[in-house]
Amino acid sequence: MLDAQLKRGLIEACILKLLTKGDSYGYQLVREAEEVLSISESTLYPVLRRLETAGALTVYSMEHNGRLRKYYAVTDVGRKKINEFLTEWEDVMKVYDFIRRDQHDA
Amino acid sequence: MTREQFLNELKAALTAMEEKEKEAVLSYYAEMIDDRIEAGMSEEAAVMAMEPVPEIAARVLEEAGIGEQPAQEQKTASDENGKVITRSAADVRELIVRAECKKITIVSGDTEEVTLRYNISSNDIFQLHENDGVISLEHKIRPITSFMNEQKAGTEDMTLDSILSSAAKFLGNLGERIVQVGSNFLSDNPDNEIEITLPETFTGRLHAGTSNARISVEDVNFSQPLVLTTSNSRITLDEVKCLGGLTATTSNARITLNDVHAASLHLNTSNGAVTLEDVIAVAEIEAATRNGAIDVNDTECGGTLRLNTSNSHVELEDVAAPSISIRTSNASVSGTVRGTREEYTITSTTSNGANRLGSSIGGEKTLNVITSNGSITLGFEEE
Repeated sequence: MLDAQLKRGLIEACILKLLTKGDSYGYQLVREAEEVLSISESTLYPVLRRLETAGALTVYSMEHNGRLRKYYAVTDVGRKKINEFLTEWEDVMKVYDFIRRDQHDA
Repeated sequence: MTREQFLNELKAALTAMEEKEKEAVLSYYAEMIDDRIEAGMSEEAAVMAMEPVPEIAARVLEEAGIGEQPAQEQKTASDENGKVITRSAADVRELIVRAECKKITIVSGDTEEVTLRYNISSNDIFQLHENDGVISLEHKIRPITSFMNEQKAGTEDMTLDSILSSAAKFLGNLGERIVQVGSNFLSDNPDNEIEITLPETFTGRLHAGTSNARISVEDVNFSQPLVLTTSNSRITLDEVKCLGGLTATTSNARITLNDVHAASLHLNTSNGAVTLEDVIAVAEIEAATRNGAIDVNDTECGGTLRLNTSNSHVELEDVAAPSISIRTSNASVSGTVRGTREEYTITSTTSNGANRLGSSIGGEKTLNVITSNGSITLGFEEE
C-alpha cells in the first residue's frame, strides 16, 4: 500500500499531466488515471480541489447532453508543478538506482 | 439504491459543511454517476460503483478541514494517521463521542481547550459534526460490505481475477479487524484510543460511549452531567468531580471510582466488581452489578446509598449515609457504617449465616440489608 501523502502527490502530478493532453472532466480523469495508479472518485475529489486552490488548474462548466459538466484545464502554474515533480523525482530515481544496483533477492 | 437516494444520503451526511462546498461535492458525485450511466451502466450499477456514503462523507469532511486548525497540515512522521481536533472549551456546550472498540481516555490539560486525539486507519470511519455548541465525534469500524461495493458491477471488470482479489481484500481486512479488536484487550495500542483532553474544569456535558474497550477519566472537574458507556471493559475514574452527576454503564467488567466527588452516582455493570474509594455524593449513590463484589470505602453519601449485587460480598468501610440499602445473595455483608446503632432503624435478613446486625427501630436513618447463605457482620463506628 502506498503511503497516503506520497500517493496524493503522485495523483496530483498524474492529473496535471493528463490535462496537458487536453481539457477533461471528472469521470474521464478517473478512467485515464486508473491505468497508471489505483484511484477512485473519492481520492480524486480532494486532489482536484487542492489543485484548484493552488491555481494549478481552472474549472469551467459546459453543457453536455442537457446537463452541465465540469471541465478542468491545466494552467501555467500546473505545468510548472509537473516540472517540479520530475526534478524532485530525479533525486528519488538516483537513490532507487543506488539501492537497486547489485541487489540480490534476499 | 437510486441516484436520488444516494445523493440525498450524501447530502444528509454532509450537513456540517457550508452550502457552497456541499453543493460542489454533490454535483461532483452526481456527475460521476451520470457519466457512468452515459457510458452504458444502469443507474443501480453506477451508484454501486461509488464508495459508500459514510466513507465519502468522512473523507470529504476531513479534507475540508471542518473547523480544523491550519496547523493540521503539518504532520510529523509519527502522526501520519493522527488526527487532532481542538476547540475553545467555552464554545463547547456538549461533547458527544461515540466509538466502536476504541479506548476512551479523558484527562485534563493546561489550556482552556477541548482536544480530541485519535488515529485513523483504513478500518476507521470518523465523522465530526458541529452545531450550535454541540460537538459530536462518531466512529464506526468500516463495514465489511463496503469492500463488496468496490466490485464494479455489470461491467467487463467482473473477471475471475477481480472477484478473487476483492475476496482476498475482504478476508485480509476481516483478519485485520479481528486483530484490531483483539489488541484492545491485550495492549496499549495508540491506534485503538481516542484521547479527550479537557480544561481542568469543563462546563459542558460529556457523553462518551464505546464498546469492548475501557473508559478512564482522570483529574477533571465536570459541572454538567457526565455519562460513560461501554461494554465488556472497565470504567475507571480517578480524582474526578461530577457536579452534574455521573452515570457509568458497562458489562462483564469492573467499575472503579477513586477520589470522586459527585452530585449523584449511577453505576451499572455485571460480572464485575464495583469499588468506591474516597467518594462523596451530595445526593444518591446507586451501584448495581451481578456476580461481582461491591466494596465501598471512606464514602459519604447525602442521599440513599443503594448497593445491589448477587453471589458476591458487599463490604463497607467507614461509610456514612442517611439511608443505606444493601442487597446480595449467597455472600456476606461486612464492614462498618459511620455513626451509632441508635441513629438507625435497621432491618436485616439472611439465611444460613450469622446475623450480627439484627433489626431495631427508633433511628432517623435507615439501614436495610438482605442476603442469603452468608453472614451479616456489619457494625458501627463513631467518627
